[in-house]
Parts: sequence; C-alpha cells; structure tokens
Amino acid sequence: MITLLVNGKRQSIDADPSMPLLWALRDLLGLRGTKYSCGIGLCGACTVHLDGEPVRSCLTTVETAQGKAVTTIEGLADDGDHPVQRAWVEANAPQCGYCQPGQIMSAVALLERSPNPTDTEIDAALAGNLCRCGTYLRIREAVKLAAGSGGGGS
Amino acid sequence: MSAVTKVSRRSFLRTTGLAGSALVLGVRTGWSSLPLPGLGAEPSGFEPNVWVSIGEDGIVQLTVHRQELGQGARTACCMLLAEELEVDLDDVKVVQALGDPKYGDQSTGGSTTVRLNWLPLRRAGAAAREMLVETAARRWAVPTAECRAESGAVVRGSDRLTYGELAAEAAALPVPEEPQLKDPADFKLIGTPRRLIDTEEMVRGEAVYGYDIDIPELLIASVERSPVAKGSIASYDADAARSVRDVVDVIELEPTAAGFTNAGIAVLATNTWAAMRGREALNARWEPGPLATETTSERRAELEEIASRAGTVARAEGDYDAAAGAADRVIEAAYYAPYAVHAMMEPPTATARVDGDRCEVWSSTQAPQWAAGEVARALGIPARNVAVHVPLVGGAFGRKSMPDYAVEAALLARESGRPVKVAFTREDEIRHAFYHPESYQLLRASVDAQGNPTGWMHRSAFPAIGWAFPAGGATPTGQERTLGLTTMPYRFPAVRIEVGKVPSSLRIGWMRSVCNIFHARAVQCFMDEVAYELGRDPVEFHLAMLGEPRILNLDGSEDVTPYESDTPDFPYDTGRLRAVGEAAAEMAGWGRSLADRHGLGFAMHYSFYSYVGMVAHVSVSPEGELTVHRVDCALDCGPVVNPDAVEAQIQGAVAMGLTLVKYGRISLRNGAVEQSNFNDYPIVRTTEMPDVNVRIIETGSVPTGIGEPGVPAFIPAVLNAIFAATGKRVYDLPLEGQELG
Repeated sequence: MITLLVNGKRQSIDADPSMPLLWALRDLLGLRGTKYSCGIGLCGACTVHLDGEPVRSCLTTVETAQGKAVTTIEGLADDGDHPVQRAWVEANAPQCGYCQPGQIMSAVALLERSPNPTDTEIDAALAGNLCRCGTYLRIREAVKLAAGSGGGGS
Repeated sequence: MSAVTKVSRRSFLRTTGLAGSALVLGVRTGWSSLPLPGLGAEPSGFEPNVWVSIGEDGIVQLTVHRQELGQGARTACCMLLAEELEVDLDDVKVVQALGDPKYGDQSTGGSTTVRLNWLPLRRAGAAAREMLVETAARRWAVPTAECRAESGAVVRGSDRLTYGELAAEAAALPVPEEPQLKDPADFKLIGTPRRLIDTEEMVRGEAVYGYDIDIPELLIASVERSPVAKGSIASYDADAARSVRDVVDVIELEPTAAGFTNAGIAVLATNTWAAMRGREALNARWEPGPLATETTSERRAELEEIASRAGTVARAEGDYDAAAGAADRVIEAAYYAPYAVHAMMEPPTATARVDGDRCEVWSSTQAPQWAAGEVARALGIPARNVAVHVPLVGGAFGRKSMPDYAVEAALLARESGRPVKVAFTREDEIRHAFYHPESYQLLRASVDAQGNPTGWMHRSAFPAIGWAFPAGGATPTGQERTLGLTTMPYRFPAVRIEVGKVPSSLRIGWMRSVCNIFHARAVQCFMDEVAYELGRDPVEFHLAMLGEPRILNLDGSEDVTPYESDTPDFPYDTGRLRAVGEAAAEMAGWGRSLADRHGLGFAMHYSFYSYVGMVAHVSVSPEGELTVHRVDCALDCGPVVNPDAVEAQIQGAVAMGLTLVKYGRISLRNGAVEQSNFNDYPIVRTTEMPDVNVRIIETGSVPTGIGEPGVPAFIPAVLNAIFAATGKRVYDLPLEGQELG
C-alpha cells in the first residue's frame, strides 16, 4: 500500500509504485479535475502541486509523491473561491476548459512565489501549459486580475 | 413521463417524421440512463417541445441538443431559448440531450449551431412563453395582451404567477404553431456578452468530459492499432500483456465493415496506466498491407505532377486559355502544405455499456446521432437501442465527428461483458486521425500590356474527404470545391478553376474550416503577389478586383454556393466582404510606416456564410524568427448571439492558424505517420500568441457561423505580412525548417 496526502487528506492506494500520480488521482482516487493530454510532460494539463511546487503528475510516480503534500484543482479552495479561480471566471478564460485546471495550478504556483509577476515571469510560468482553443490572451488577463486581487497572497 | 405532460409515446412516434421542425412534440426515449451528473436527467411537467420543460416545482429545464466543444454552443442555445421564454439564464437547469432524431440535426460542425437553430430554438421558447401567458390570462380572466412574461413569471400589474405555478395548466393547451417572436430591439440576452455556462465547473475541475466518465465495473482499453491503414495483425504477446498488474483482458479488433476502424489489439485493465503498460508489453507486429508505400517527400512531387495536368473543371467563365495566350505576361505561383492533425487537448474517448441488444455510450463526440448509427451497425442492433450521451468535449475541431472510437468501445464492451472506455493516448490521436489533407495549389493570372488582369486559373490538388469513407471518393466533392475555391470573388474576365484527383493512404477528415484553409491561403497570397507584381497596393488591388458589391453568381459552375439547400437565405454578398476588408485595414492603420523587418499583411475570406477581414502585423528577426505582434480582424456573421464567444473564436482561430503556419506537418514514412506527440507536432504557446482585436459588423437579420471562419483569413494575412517584412514569399508550409532570415 502507498499512502498519499492529497488535498490535506491521507489516502491509501493499492498501486504499482511506478504508477504516475496522474492515474492514481484520476482512476484510484476519483479526482478527475487533473487532466491527461500528452503523458510525457509537454502540455501541462496534468499540473498539480507537490509541497507547493507545480509538477507534471504524468511524470511523477506515486512513489515519489509519498510523504509530500499533493494539491489538485479540487483542493485549491473550498467552493472554488480561490482568487485565481475567481479571476478565471471574471476573465471568461475557458473555451473547452480541458486544459484550464492545469493552467490554473501553474498560475497559482506563480502567484504564490511572485504576487505581482512581470510579463516575463508569466511567460516563463505558463509557457509549458498548452491550450489548443487559444485562450492564452484571457489566461494572461486572468493572471493579472488575480495578481491585482491578491491572488498571490493567499 | 409525468401525467401532466400532454404528449404520449404514440403521438411522439406519429410525429417523428417531422423531426427537425421547431415544434415536434416529443417524449424521452424511455431508455434508462445512469445518474451521472448533468447527463440525461428526466424532465417532468410542462413540456411543449423537446427543448423546454417546466416542472411543478418551478424548475425550468432547457435541453441543449448541440455539443459543447469550447465554441460556446451550449451557451448560445440556452440564450436563444431563454430570450424568448423570458427566463434568466442563471435560473435554469441545463440538460445535454442524448443523440436522438427528434432534435433534428445534432451534428456540431460546419459552424451551424447558431445559424440552424436561430429560429427553431427561439420559436420553441416563444411557444412555451405564449402558453404560459395564455394560462395566466385565463386564470385572471383578462386578455393576454394585458399580461407579459418576465424572469420566469407572468405578470399583470402587481399580480404575478411563476412558470411553476402555471406549468400543469399550461400543459393542457395546444402548442401554438406560429408563436410571435420578440422584436430584436427587445432582446435582453441575445447580443450581450455572456460567459459560457460551464465556466464555473471548468475552473473548479468539476466539469465532466468524456475522459472523466466512470461507471461501475468499468474497464479502460488502450488499443494498439495498425500503424498503416488497412494493415493486419502479424503477431503479439497476449500473455505478456496479461501479466501486467491490473490487466484483465486482451481482445483483437477486426476492422469494421463500415471502414471507420482499423485492425487493433485492445488491452483492458482496471486503470488507464495498467492498460497502457499492458499494451506496451504486447510487442505487436503488423503486416503493413497495400498502403505502406507512401512517403511524404515523394508525395509533394506527386501532387505537383497532378497539378501540372488539367483537372476536372469546377468553374469556368470566359476563355482562360485565350486570355493567357493573348497576355503580356502570366504570373504563376504554387502553394503546398502537408497533412495536419487536430491535436485537441482531450484525445478522443468513448465509454460503452452493452446489455443484450441495447447499448449505452458516453462519447466525446460532435455527432451523437452518427455515433449511435455506427455503433448499432457494428453491433447489429437497431439504432433506437443505442443511447449516446455527450459529456463536455475537450476540444474537437472536426476529429470528433467521426464515430470510430465509439464503435471500438461498443465492440469491446460486448466482447468483454463489462463497460469499456476506449482511451486514446496522445500518440493515438496523432497517428490514428482523420487528417486535414495535404494540398498543392497552382495559380496563374494573365495580365495585358496595360497591366489589367485578364484571366484567373486555379488548379487545386488534394485528397478528398471521400478517402475517409468505405465507398471511397478520390475527386473533391461539390462541397469541398465551394470551400474557398469556386467562391473566388474577384472579377477576372476569364476564370478557370479545376480540381485534381489525388489518391491517399491516410484517412481524410474535417479540420476547422476544412478546405478553406488551403484555398483561402492560395487565393489570398496569390492576390497579394499579383498586386505586388503590378505595382499596386494589396488592399487597393483586392477591393478594385472585387468591384461594386454584388451577389456572387457563379455562372458556369456546377456548384452554386456552399450548402446548396439553404442558399436563398444566405447569398454571397461581396459588399459584405468589402466592408470587413476595409474595416480590418482601417483598424490596422494600413499603409502606416513600420520599423525595419516589420510588415503588415492583408487577407479576407468568405466561409460558412460569414465574412472575415484580417491584417497581421509581423516582424522577422535577422535570424529568421517570426513574431506575430497583432491581428486586427473585422467580421460579419450577421446578428451575434454572444459577442464574447465570437471574440474567443477569433482568438482561437489565430492560435490554430499560427500553429499551421509555424509547425503543422504530418508526414509519412512507408504509409505510417511519423509524428507522435507535442514534441514533434508542436502547437503554439502563450509566448507566441499575438494581440487580437476584433470588430463585429452585424449585417442583416440572419446569423451565420463563426467557429471556423477565422482560420482561413489568418494564414495568408501572416504570410503576406512576412513578404512585406522580408521580401520573401513563403510557398511551402510549415515555416519550421525554412530560412526566413
């Protein structure tokens, strides 16, 4: 058995230690807000936080995640009221929405370490999160809205 | 079905012949569905048509029969219904329809959702509103004219009855056949920017996509498919796959008679990771079959050769050969682009559960009715026994119209005796697609001694969509020709437009704006080149060649305009094209001076009955790196339902177009696709995204589409801007690997 600390809750799973955290979250723990899209760490759709740092859960094994705090989109805040989530709604960022949880997790991590990021910092933090619908301009707007509303201070 | 609903199953069956008209009386299919959130809930109470139902509890439920792919279809459909029904969008419950003929056409493609539902959905809302007003008026014993509907209630002075209070009685009234639609001047919702109704769930991670479906006893299937279409299985190691932890079964898939699926070996497991690992352990070997001959470098030459010969005439006016023979000069250019693939963020996926002669499917699909039909055919059961639910679709762009993965899920569910989800990997999505075709466009313009253009010749060579279908069709169909080829709007005295017959070993499919992509690029880049050769300003030349506004009458063409059936409502008005072209040029400050190695490029295009003008501002560094700084877009898609979604679609079209310009290349080696994931099929990142300014010009009273029309104009606008910045013409796409410095 492998024990994970996910969104503040201790969970035991019976899984191969090499299973990527992505599939453990989705298939074993029923947390499907974290998305699969490329499986090789190139698109960012599966981004979660490991001890507060953004990681690609498709490349992070459950063995690696053991003993660390895992935060997923579902655990970001109660009732989806994280300032970054509110900013995303305010900016009407999503189109199909599939990549957005990963985008939001990357943005939250950025704002936690840099509450008022420059354009260069935003680029660096979000360049690894792909969106085929082309919501990039609104995501940028949402990050700035969140920075302005104290999204980085939480 | 509730007792107060006035329609019976018999009356439904009697009226199914009318499916597609606005006021078909309908009931649910009666096929039980699993209680997944937001899927297939049963309405009760007042149900005057298939889209509106109001329970005695007062809950107003709107049923959306088009699929949400990110383009705002669910929101737009709700806005149309809610506007006429007089309910607040925040107060309604939205249910996604199952695939069912009673809704009319549910295929969400071709930029049709608003165009084809503008009147039917408004009529459905208005009919319900009139019945509720009539009921209240009777209750109060006053004329209906003294009552009005607002925010889910009928009011008269200080009297107020909610729709819930009126629902049961309203259900006894006849459904009005000609309900009075609101005056557009009174619209409260239509024309106002609205966020998509699913936004909240999306940002919480609670939105349910096809990949997220989970039902009891579910197995996940990862399918190894023949890398070459029509290949067959040579060998594989089922025992090795079965020895992987959590793998339950290994099942062979035969190609189906309908031709949408190829041979495959499915590894079924209780979790996705195990299915993927089991699949790797198969060590599958394939007999490549008859199509394993194609290699891309040879293909370009083949297309060029096809385009060097006369093709099938698609449009002819005057005598082009005579014009060319008498010309002072003939300007010629040719444009090539390779195959491309959709790369939507959610790879294709479907879940199926088979119970005897019934099948229930949850598919990330644009076309649930088609999926139901093909699943039924593959299983040998009646189509009415197949229920297709549609969760949110994580991007589609045409790929998810195809029914292949739903068919695979159904076959595997029957074979394994358990519900099965077919989960495409990214590699599967790239390698087992229905591809945007490669294309080669040869254009010539004849010019007399005074510099007047006298003739236009365009020969288009690309593998036709017919290659996706078992009947096979090598020559582009009428519809494919009208996608930007025969609809060339410029006044050349002589016009000759031809299509070539191009075989392919890949399955061809639809991708956002389809053939408009390469036709618009060729026409708009060539117009820019001819303008330059004649020493004229590109915008001035485009507008001069467009001439006075006219309804485009394609004399001599076997194709009149796209989608012949409803042409009279949607004439091609070149005045509207001129207007968006002029507006885009004005927005961009056309003619202004720019820094060295910066340039503006102009293009305009008509597609899906909508008109788009664009100017791109680019720069190219001395090292050859392209930056698109800004795109100015003016568009006319008639009256707009949700301007916020229209703007989003143009932003999306720019992102998709820029990927095609910079990276879009699917290549073949011995018939197999060489690319596999975002490492070798990159898509643009946030760092590459230009500013996008959108101006909406609303002409007329009939809305058209906007999901697709932004893509075609963008690509030539960028390529023409590259020429303005560098003096270099780009004839082959993508740019990656070429020298622009």
